[in-house]
Amino acid sequence: MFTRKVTLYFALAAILLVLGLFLEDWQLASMVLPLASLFFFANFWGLPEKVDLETSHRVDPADSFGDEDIRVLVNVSNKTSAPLGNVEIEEYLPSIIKLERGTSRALTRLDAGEKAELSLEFKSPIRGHYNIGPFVARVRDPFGFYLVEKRSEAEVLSIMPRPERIRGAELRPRHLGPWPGMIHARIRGPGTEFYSMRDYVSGDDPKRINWKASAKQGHLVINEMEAERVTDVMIVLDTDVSFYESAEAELFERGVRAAASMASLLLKQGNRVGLILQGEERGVIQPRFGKRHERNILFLLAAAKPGRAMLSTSYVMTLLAHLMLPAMAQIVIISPLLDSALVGGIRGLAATGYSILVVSPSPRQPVKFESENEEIAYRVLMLERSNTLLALEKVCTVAQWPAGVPLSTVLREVKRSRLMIRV
Amino acid sequence: MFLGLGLSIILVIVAVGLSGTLARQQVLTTLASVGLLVVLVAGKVGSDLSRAPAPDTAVLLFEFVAVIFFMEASRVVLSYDEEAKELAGRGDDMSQAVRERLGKWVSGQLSKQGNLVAGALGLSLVLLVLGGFTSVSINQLSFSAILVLLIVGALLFLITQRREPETRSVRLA
Repeated sequence: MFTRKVTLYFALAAILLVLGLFLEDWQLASMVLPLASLFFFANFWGLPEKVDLETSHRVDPADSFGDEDIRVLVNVSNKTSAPLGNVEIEEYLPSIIKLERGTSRALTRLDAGEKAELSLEFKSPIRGHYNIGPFVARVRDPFGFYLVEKRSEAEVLSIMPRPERIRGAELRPRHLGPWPGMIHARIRGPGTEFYSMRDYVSGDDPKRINWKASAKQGHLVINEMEAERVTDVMIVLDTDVSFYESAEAELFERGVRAAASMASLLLKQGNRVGLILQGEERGVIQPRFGKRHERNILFLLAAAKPGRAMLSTSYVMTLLAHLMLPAMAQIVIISPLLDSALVGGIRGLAATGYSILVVSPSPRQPVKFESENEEIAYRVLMLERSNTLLALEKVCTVAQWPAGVPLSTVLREVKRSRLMIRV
Repeated sequence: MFLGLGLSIILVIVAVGLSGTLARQQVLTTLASVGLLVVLVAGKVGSDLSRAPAPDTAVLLFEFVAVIFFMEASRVVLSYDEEAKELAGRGDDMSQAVRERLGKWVSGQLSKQGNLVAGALGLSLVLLVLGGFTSVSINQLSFSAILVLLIVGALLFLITQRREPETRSVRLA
């Protein structure tokens, strides 16, 4: 297609012609001749009639945990039988990305059949999704009168939160799947935890004989273990941390890390895990198993951004839990609990039989307050949060997560009293 | 007085062009080149109006083509400079490969531009000489205007038929 430059040259030629005719000066009008000749030569010798380019670009790796360099490989092949003297290659990158090696724009010449392989490298940016591209190859004649453009769509680079290696909290949902897992089932079966004792019957494994109890009772008694099964878990990440602006980012990132770590752990234990991202940007992943599903959850978490929720978290959580989870399954809520409206929703879910664990990253106290009013506001906010915590502890398990303490330590402390023991 | 004004205009153009080249500002260099084109055309119009003797056509065309060539060449050199500046201080193999390609690009671009401009000037002079052998018997302005418009139309048709719409279909997703 023609470029804007050729339009300007055409305009100049038209002006010269009009002036020449108006002044009846053929010398002035003859100045059109070099322009016309230039168009002619640029058209016929500047650029082949048909330009055939093959382009591709690849981001390696396309998803990362943010601890490795990202490389973009760009290939442009000239499939035309003539050389292309003026080829511009440009990879559009987000402004946050600073190149370490290579360049995002290159000017080159491509001989007939030549393939140009360029690459660029940059340090992994912070968590998020980034559009790498579109990748554009532009071919022009030497004067830039004519342009042929080939474009490849943008690739998505996903920097996901790295799940921490944590020990699981003791979850005790009443809904259990049929497969062996790590959740105590409150029934006899193969497991690691002591459940009850019974008289020995022929065929029982002699290793399970409780010799001390047998000696006391005068006949053989064996230990019975509590069965361990899998369950369905829905993780709800409350991204609305806008009440606490001074350290919003840190608080939010801890929440994302906790969600990633818990999802990863629960999936490794064989549970079906889903995710609800609730805030300004919402996202839902249905509970499923497996390694690929873990990737999906981390992919969604990569896009999480803090922001004010348009819909009530309680409403969304209740609605989606009922839609996607079996009755009496497990819900893990990760929220700084800066909004007391959450209590109603959690109370409602607990009343319908769901087992709920609330992991609440505690806001870090500011080193210095800007004014007395700010300090008072902070103290009121913390007081309200304490009230919310107290209200929640009556209906579900709550784990407060202070800043600087490993999540694993916090979750190890989570032990819920057993609701009933069948003997 | 007229000479003084002309001199000051040229000095301004030279200052703008030089500052654009030194500061590597493509806008300024293009502005200076466009200024030169305007001075060239305005000078010719001025000489027509003041009934001054006309300059040699070949010299006029040469000046005109030279201004266009230097304008385009400055754009190429400044683009090269901009890219080279971005690559400066990077010794990695990827940047080195891009730098090598950039060197080939700039030399190829300048030589090709020079060839095309020389070709265009040569063709213009040949056409002028050929035009001098023939003369149109009908010396009417309207007839000449129609003739010129027909030639321009033919030129546009020729160029458009070669580039459009084939190039549009090449643009792929």
